[in-house]
Amino acid sequence: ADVTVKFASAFASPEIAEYQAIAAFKDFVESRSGGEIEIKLFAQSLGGDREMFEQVQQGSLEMSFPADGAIAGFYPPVQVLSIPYAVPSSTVAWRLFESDFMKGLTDDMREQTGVRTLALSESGFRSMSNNVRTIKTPEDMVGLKMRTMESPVFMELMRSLGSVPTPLPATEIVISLKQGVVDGQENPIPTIANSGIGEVQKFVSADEHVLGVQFVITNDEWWNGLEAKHQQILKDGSILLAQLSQATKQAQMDEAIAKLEGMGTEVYINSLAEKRMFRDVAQPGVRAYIEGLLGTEIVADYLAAVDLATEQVYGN
Amino acid sequence: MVGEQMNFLNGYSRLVRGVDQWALNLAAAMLLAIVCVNALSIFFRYVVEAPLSWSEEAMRYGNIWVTYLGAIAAQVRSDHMRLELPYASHPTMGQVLRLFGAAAAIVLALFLVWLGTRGALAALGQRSPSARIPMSLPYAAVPLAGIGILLAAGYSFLCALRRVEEVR
Amino acid sequence: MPVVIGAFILFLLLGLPLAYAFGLAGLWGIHETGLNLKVVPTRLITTIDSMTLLAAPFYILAGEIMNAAGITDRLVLLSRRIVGGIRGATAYANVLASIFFSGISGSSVADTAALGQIFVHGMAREGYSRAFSSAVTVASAIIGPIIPPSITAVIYSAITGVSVISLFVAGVVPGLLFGLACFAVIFVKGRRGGLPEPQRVADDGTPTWRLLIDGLAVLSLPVVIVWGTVGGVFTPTEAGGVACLHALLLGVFVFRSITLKSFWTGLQNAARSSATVFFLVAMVSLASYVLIIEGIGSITQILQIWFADQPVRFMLGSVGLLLVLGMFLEPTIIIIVFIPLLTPVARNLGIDDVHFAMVAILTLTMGMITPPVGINLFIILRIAKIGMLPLLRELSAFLVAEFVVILLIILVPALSVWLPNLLT
Ligand code: NA
Ligand code: NA
Repeated sequence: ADVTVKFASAFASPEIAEYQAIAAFKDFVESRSGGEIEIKLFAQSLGGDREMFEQVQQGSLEMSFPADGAIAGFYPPVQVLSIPYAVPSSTVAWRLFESDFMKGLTDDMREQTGVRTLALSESGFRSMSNNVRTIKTPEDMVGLKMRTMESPVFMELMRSLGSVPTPLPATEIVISLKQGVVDGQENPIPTIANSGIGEVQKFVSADEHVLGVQFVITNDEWWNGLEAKHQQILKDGSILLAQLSQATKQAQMDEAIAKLEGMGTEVYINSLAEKRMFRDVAQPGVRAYIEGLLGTEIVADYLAAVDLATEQVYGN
Repeated sequence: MVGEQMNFLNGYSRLVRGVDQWALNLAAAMLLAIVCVNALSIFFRYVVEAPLSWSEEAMRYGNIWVTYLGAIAAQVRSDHMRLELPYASHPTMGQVLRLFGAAAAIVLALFLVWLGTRGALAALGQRSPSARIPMSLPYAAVPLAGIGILLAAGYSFLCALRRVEEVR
Repeated sequence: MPVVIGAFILFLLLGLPLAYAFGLAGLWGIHETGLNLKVVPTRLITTIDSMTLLAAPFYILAGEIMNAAGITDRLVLLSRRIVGGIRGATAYANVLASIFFSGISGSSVADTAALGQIFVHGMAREGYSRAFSSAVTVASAIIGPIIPPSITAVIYSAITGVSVISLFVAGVVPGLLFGLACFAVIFVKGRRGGLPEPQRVADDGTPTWRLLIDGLAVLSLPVVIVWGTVGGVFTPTEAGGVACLHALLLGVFVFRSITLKSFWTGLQNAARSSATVFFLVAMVSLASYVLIIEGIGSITQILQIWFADQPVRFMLGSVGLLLVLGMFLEPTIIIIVFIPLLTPVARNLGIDDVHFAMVAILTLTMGMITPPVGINLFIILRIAKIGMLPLLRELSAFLVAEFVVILLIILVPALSVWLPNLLT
């Protein structure tokens, strides 16, 4: 092969949407380039998202597929994506990815970090689960002990809702829920269904508080040294990867809900009106934190871009 | 002439022992600090019901410093695990191995200084996600350990060269 | 890949510490394969930057504090009192002391070093051979990293994501079984007349109730860890920190023997031991980086095809592989380099994560007392001042008995999985 691409990711299990999308990317690129490009996949073996981003930045890895949370340390502005209850649906998120705002954000990230974004993919909204009650409105969150990542954004979100945020490592979520260290946690619904969390939770509520975004990234310097035709194939492949991943995730959503219900877990889908109540209670605190971090301008621009995308998708 | 060299070696050995003491005491203090932060974190979660958002990162980075400070002391005190070689007791072979061991430690230390400095500089713009600690802070432990190991291994090399016992 | 492996073996034979041999072989391999050297500091920091791993220094420190409090001697006295005057009493007491000691120590090296001095010389005075005394000591010392707390379990958890709490709890029964296996070997040897008549041993006359309180105080440490984590009061990592404070309180109020100076020395010792473990992990990560990039991961697919639908055969194969690797390498290294290749296969074969982990940990721990490179053997040989061959002659029966325990745990998953499922 003329070009070898080391592509590392955190996804090792063949049932996962991201894994399937990355495998499709490999097939697509290798066959379209007639074997001129070889994709070497590394699953879960070269560290976490943060470490893989750093390796792409160095040029040690050519490509990776990290989540927004891990990028924040290298490029803080991506944290605007974590403003809770900002994006109303997946379709709006997909539209948002095409916006001038996101293009500006990823261009700026490339200039600041040397890491180029080839495509964006929605990795699902995070939702609440717990063992105490069905979460319909913000009042239902009051007093619950909720496991979160040790992240100011998520801890502030829980505090705003009147819950007690409890940072715990991911490996101990299931056991902590079983033991009642915490009442609940928050994750995308497919994760709740497939990671064993669902088996130890009675109530899942699709409040869809924070949008998860994954970046198909590459080292910019390396990219600029590629032939145009190879760039084209890799770009096409990346878009395929991103779209396939988010589409498969959507398709797996019903399966995940059915699986949860099969375990005896109640799945409640919050209405738009309820989500608006959540937004009014939980957004200001996190928004203030993020504005303190990044300034008011970028937050306003982001929310305007979301409004525009919403309008484009649903009309008025 | 020989006396001067011995004087120099004596001074050097005092320097190495000083570095060892500093590194070890700092590492011990850091470990104690980690234990305290841990206690604080549990206290804030259960008693105050307002969990800290920086404790985990602080402990993790503290432990990185314990590791690399401790690695300096480990070089000085030969703490690291190694094979027991039957031929190491042979006088000539023993001398060769001693020189090689010190030289290899010097090479490794030089890499730690060089690459570690580059890593710390590259991390200048990066901050930890929760506590917003500059990532250069944990990264700086590597080149520092490199300097300490270099000093200690340099002393071992000179002692091996002059065929004298190391003073520890 | 051959460069890294070749360089590593060469460096080892030239007497470099394992950590340096891995580091230099890794650097050489990264250069040789045309990889980017910038990745070196990233590997050196991120591999040890783990909340799970942070439990290790805590447990090392807790053990050091208990040591500084003079706990070892009390445990030995207590074990002797419990065993009484039966034939082979001190040999049984040796094993029993290790079981107690494993509740405060997370590593077999600490156990061998602490109990070896006392028992090898003490047993020799009673007429036991030094070789047999050494064999009992190391065979029972490996209970240390099996009964909680366990440094090996912490590292295993950090690498595979299996819950530390589950691994801790799962270790209790197998750890006790290892103890039983040692008892059985001693019993058989005694029956055949291979043990000296029991003798009066030095005893400082401390009242038994006082020793029992001390013993209970020691056992309260693993109980606090397991109760606290299983009961959901704190995370396994936090439990380590709590264990340190608990040990400190015991040292100050129950044993009343800890001083500011001995506490500080304990901190220094813990920092040193923990640093050597973590430095090794960091250095291994350089070599493993090259192996991963060069495609060592494809072994997983090959294994998957070989062992399709054959879980027991896969477990036996893994045990064989880990035993052979364990003869030459430290558990930490094997966990970092090889366990990630085996666990996906185990998962696909439907083997319980905790079950596979326990089998692997037991096998790797046995590697600490198998020739040619079992680290505990070297420690005990230095203490007992005997040769390797006489030691191995006495040790072989223990190795066989412990291997039978491993086979039992492979065939009866409940032995390792039942307790964690019950408690958690
Ligand atoms: Na233990
Ligand atoms: Na023992």
